[in-house]
Amino acid sequence: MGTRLNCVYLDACCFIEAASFERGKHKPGRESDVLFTKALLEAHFDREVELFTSSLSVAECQCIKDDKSQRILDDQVKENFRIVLTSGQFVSLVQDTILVAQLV
Amino acid sequence: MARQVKVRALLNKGRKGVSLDKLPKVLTEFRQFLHALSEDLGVDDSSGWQGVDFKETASLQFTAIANSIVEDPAYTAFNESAMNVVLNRQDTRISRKTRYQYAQMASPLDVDETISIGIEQPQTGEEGAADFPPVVWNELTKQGAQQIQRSVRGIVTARASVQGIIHSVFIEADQPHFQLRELSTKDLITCNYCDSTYDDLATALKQRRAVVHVFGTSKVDTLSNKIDVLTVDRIEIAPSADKSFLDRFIGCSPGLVTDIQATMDRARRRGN
Repeated sequence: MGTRLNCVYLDACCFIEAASFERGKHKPGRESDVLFTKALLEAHFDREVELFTSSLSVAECQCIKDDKSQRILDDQVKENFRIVLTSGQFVSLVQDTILVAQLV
Repeated sequence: MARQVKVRALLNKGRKGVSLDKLPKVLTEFRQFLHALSEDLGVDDSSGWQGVDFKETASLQFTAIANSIVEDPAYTAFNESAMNVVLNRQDTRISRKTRYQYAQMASPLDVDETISIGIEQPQTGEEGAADFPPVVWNELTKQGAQQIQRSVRGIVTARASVQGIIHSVFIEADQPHFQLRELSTKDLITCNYCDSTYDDLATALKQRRAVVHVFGTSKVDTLSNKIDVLTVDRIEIAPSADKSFLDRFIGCSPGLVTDIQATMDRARRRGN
């Protein structure tokens, strides 16, 4: 194994915002953040950087609700999240194990 | 006053000589113990330790002295806690890992051999006493070391799922298993499987370097912070996509989050 790449942790909100991106309707500052997120995901795919997110992000991204507590994702969007978060190609999952829970 | 922390070591007290096969192993463990102790107590030992004061009267006696310098309070705290480790007394500043590493120094020894660790007694404030501090010695035997290790090692059973790539498979082992290279930690995890999960494994192996999710019951070593072994219930092949998939993902659900600030304001109003 070679030397370890630079590591970056992404929270679920980064993926949610990327999925909700709409050019011209995002706030200008946020628009560039989404593009940075995309660049990071591409860099992980090319093994230039290591991205991590919690396995809990999968649940967070699959269960987005509106302000009336209704789930608002259709099956295709859910599948898109599943591919990005669990394929290992765009981000590695940090498992919510007893080690993480104990913070030892 | 600034000082250098020091720890004394004595191998095989009262006996003649030390095996050259064991000596480097004991010293490696001793050095790791010094590092673990320093880390617990906030002493920067990145500039290393020196061996000084080698004595001819014993099989091997010397003093390890840190190259870095610490102030008096840190020096005293180091000695107090080091003493608590060698005397196996409670001390919240000392991690279980350090206690385990202390005992680990005896692992290369035979049952009739010992390593003794000497710590300077914390001073009571008498003038001039600091130049000739009394040293408290404690002898560590292999049996005693094993008792310490048993008492600090913790194995926890927990349900787990691990994402990784199958590294190697041992089909004809007494307990059939495969090694999984976990993606996030790069650790190799031993995964025991049974007849009912063999088909899942065979399917996963058809796809070269497939990323898989392995579910099961894990034995977690809380000392090393690693999964010791995972008993597999299920193996699932992760989905895959090419890089251009990201073009479809970005913006795949516009309007998903409308106005974060407005949503938060509404939530706060509900809370009130």
